[in-house]
Amino acid sequence: VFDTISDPALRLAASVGLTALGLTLAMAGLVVLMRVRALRSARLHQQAKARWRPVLVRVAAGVDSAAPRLLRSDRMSLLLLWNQMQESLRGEAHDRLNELGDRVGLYALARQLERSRNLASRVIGHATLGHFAHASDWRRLGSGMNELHTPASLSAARALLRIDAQAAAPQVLERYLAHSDWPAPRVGTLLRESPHDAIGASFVRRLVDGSLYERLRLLPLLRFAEVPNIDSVLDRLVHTSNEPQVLSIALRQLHGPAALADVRKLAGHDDPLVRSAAAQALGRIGDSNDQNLLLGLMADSNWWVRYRATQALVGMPGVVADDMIQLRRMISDPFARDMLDQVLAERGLAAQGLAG
Amino acid sequence: VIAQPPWLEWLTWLFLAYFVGLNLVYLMLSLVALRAAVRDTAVRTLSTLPAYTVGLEPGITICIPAYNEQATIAESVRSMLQIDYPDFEIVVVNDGSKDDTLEVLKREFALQPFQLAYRRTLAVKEIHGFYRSPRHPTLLVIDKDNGGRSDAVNAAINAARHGLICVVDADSVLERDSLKRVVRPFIEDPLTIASGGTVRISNGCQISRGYMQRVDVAPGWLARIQVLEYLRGFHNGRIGWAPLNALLIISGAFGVFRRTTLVEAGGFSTRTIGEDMEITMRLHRFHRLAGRAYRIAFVPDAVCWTEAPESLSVLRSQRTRWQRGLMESLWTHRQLFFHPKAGAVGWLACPSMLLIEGLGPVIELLGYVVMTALIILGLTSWSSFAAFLLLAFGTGLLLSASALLLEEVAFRTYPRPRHLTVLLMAMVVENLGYRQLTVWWRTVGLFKWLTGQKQRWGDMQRRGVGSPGNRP
Repeated sequence: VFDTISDPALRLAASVGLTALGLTLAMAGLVVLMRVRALRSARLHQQAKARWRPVLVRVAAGVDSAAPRLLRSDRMSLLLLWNQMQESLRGEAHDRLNELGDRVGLYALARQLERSRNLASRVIGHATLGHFAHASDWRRLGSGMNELHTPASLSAARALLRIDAQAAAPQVLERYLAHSDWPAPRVGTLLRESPHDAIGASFVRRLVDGSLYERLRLLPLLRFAEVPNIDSVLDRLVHTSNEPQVLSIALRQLHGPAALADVRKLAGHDDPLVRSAAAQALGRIGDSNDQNLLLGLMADSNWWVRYRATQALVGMPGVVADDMIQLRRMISDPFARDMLDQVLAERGLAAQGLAG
Repeated sequence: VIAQPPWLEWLTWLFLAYFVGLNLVYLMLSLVALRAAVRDTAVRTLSTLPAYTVGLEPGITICIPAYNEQATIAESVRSMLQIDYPDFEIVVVNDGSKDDTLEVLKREFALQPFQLAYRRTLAVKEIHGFYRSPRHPTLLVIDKDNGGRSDAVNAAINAARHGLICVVDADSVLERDSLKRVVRPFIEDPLTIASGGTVRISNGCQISRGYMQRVDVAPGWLARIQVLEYLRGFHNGRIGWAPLNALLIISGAFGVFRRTTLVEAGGFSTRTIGEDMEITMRLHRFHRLAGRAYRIAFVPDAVCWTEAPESLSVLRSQRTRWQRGLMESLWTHRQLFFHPKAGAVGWLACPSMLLIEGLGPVIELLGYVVMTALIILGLTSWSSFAAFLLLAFGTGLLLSASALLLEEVAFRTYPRPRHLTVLLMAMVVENLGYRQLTVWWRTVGLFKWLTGQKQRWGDMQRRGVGSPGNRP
């Protein structure tokens, strides 16, 4: 026999093996313990919901303002339930739940949570403070908006907008432009929840005259936010911009005919993104004079430009099936003809589907 | 007792280094994964508040490559058509099936020939026709010559109208909100080029009309152990590598890619058997070496259920194929190894993958063979043999336990105490034969890769989603 367990290698093997086994047993025990705790916690949560939901409904409806004493074990369940209901309530019902929340200690709890090290607690704390909308929390939430964790900074921004949208919107936009961690759709949704006039002149000014980075960050927000004189802003962007990304986003949102001359010009742009967006815009705001332009785009080298141009042409007011048959005979470009066939087939299938 | 000969000394230290290294890497990954999972769980507790991504989901083309799938294809497509997502299309590619896959599709969805202005952006085998359904305008079927899974996916990419491509298997069952979850990284971060979800084993679960009705663990131990294996692979591996942006594989059973990026990279490779890992590594290589910012994300709560093999022969074929695919991908993208620009991918993920997953089976097999031979020949003590067995099993058990812990912390997909008991038992049972068999098959896979033997689409015997056979 070559060796015994006293050799260093084998001693190490045995030690590592035993340690792994010990850790395994500890983890398995932890898993079982967590499962037991989770089952208990789920049961308590259900009980708390069953106790408090009817109370919240009665209070929100103004039927009754009485509330039972809040058990310590019910606090988080109630807070979540209260937040859920507040999300769908406005006006007096919202105020009545605020009054109840204050009375049973939810406001004090939210202020504690807002300072917690736990991310989820901070976010729930912010959400709750946003519903209470006390001006005294402005500064605290303002520093929360600048923290590193994105979910927490966004929830603080939402709370600030709920307290005072006019004052908060410029700060929110500044934070959005200063850091890239906030996704545009999320900020757009926040702004959409705010009063229509929350976005002011500074937004428009930066959109038109800001740096390329600022314009590219701000443009996606147009889908969500109510911007004063949006059509003239877009017209101006289409008229003055050179950047393909800015142009394509602006063209896609253009609905007024004032920029028609610019759109026609952009149909010949070097970038296919811009040509495709221009074709779509012509379908919306163009007239019969644009048919030849669209016919030219149907033979474009880019598939999407051909597709959008064909859709725009086929969808133009006054264009009927006979026109398309005639058009197909006229087209000499095989790619344009293929695309016309596809778009017509799509319309045919859609009509069959509707008829079915 | 005499002194060890030098070769045995070397071998001993090799085994030790392997097991200790394996432990350290996976423990590190487990810690990263646990941290990420706790953070994600914290954010998920906020799901009671309004979901901010509602209405912002980008359009997705779901690609379903199908080869001899007549038993399952109609049910799969039907389930995909009901997915909860605002803007999607489904492109099924009949890749020259020898059975009635196309006929079943035509009959079940009232397909009609369709004139498509097809873009041949990626080269694919000859296409015979396109079909659409007036009843289901979002469904497109492509009929083409057989060219393999990658060729089929590439054909779908060419026809895709949307900017995101979701690749799924023909037998995949997506949870209703899986697509909404898996696109979150694309909504939140424009640099995201790919995103993957968790694949779980559906054997034993109750699936009806393509929907998961009740989660259960599989009735047989072969599938039960695979449940544990998948937990280990996805929890320890993928959640752990994703925060480092070093995920080396987006599973072919459920992954989403940006179309422009796929096209730019040349689409899925038709020359490899492990096309999902190959494309993920290629995307890393293209972006890292060119210094382009990007993100490949993993969304653990976006779940796709798939059937696991319940026969040893199919399992053997799958594991040898996976091992070949792994080695092919690592070899093809060997330029990433320790490249100055490759970051965590080249300096951590690739070497770990090669040593642990690529060469690990050989080292482990060598360990079993040498130790058994020595004990049979009476050349080593039983205590030494026991120490090595303890090391091998302890390591395996620890990795499984950490995956189970992560599952319990973050997901708790298997709700009943019985499920937990079965999984805890599977941790032990796995070491009694299953593990040794898979080590052998993976070594065979490695050998096949070295000798360049070919392998084709796997012939998985499907029971079919929602079929009575899937119910307990």
